[in-house]
Amino acid sequence: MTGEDKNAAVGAADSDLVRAFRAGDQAALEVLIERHKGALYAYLLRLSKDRAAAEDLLQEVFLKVFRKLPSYDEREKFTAWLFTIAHHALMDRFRAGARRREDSLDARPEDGLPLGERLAGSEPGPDGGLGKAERAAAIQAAFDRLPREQRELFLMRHYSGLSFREIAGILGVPIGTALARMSRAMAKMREELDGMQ
Amino acid sequence: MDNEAEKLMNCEYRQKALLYFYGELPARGTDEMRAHLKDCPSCAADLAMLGTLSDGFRAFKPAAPQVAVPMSAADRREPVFAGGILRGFGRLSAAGAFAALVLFAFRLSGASGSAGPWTGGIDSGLDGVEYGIYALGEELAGSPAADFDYGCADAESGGGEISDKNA
Repeated sequence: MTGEDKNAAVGAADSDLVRAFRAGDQAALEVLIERHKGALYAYLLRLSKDRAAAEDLLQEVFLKVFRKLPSYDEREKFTAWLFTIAHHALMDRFRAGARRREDSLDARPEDGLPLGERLAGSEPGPDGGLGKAERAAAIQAAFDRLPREQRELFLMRHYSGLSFREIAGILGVPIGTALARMSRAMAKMREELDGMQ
Repeated sequence: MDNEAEKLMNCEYRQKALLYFYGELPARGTDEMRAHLKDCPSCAADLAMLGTLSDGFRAFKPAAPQVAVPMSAADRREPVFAGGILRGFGRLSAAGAFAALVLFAFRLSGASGSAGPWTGGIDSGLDGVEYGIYALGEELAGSPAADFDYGCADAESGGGEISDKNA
C-alpha cells in the first residue's frame, strides 16, 4: 500500500478494510488497529483498572483479530465483533489465576486513571460546596464501586458506540437485562452521590 | 425512601430514558420521552447523572500503547494447540525424569547394601516376594496345618496308612 493508498484507507469503512486485508493488504489491518485501539484501550483500562493488564489485553485482542479475521462474518458489525473478542479476553483474564483474579483486579487502586481530570478544578463550588475536582473524584469513586457487569455495560456503550441491542448480544443477555443493569447503575450512583451537589 | 420517591425511582420510563439519552428511541418515542422528562425528576436526574459520567469519560482519553502489528504466519498460528503439545511433552519428560530418579535411588541403595530387613543374615539375597514365601513356609513348618500336610504326603508316598501326627 502506497502512502496515497493509505490515506484513502484511513477514510475507508471497516468492512472495506477487512476485505482489503483478506485480499492480502496487510496495511489495512494497521489502519483498523489505529482506528479502534484508543476506544478499546480505554474500555480495557477502565474495566481492568490495571494499566499493564490493559496493555497486554490490547495486544492479545489484536492478535486474535489477525488470526480470526479470515473467518469473520462481514454481516456482523466490525466494532461488535472486536468488542466481543475484547470482552471474552477480559473475562478470561478475570477468571485466570490468583494474580489476575477478578477481585484483586477490582480491588487494585488504579494507577492514575483520572475520570474527571478535565472536569477537575480546585476551586470550591459557588455555594461553598464541593468543587469540580471533588465532585469528579466522588463520581469516579462511585462508578468504581459499581458491580463489574454494570460498569462494563456503561463502558461498552460509551466507547464502542454500539447500541444496547448489540451490546446485549455481546454480553449474551436480553436487551431488557442490559437496560435494567444500566438503570440500576444510575440509581446506585445517584443514591451514593445524593446530597453531594 | 417514601412512597413518592420510590415510585419515581421505579418509573416505568427509566429504561426508555437510557435509550433516549443515546439516541436509540424512534422519533415517536423521543417526543413522548421529552414530555415525560418535564414531569419526572427521577428520569431527569438519571439523565443528568449519565451526562456527567459521559462527559467525564469523554475527557478521559488514555494514550493507547503502540500495538505490534501481527504480520507473520507464526503470529497467525493459534498458540493453544502448540502450547498443549509442549505442555504434554513437558509432563511426559517430567514423568520420565521422576521414574529415572526412582530407579537410580533404588540402584544406589542396592549398591550401598542398605536395603530391606530381609537382606541381612541367612536370608540375604532374597527379594521381597521370595522372602514372603520363605517366611510363610517357615511359619507353616511348625504349625498343625503343616503337620497335617506332612501326614498326607506321608500317606501318599508311604504304605497306605495315614499317620495322624495331630492325634
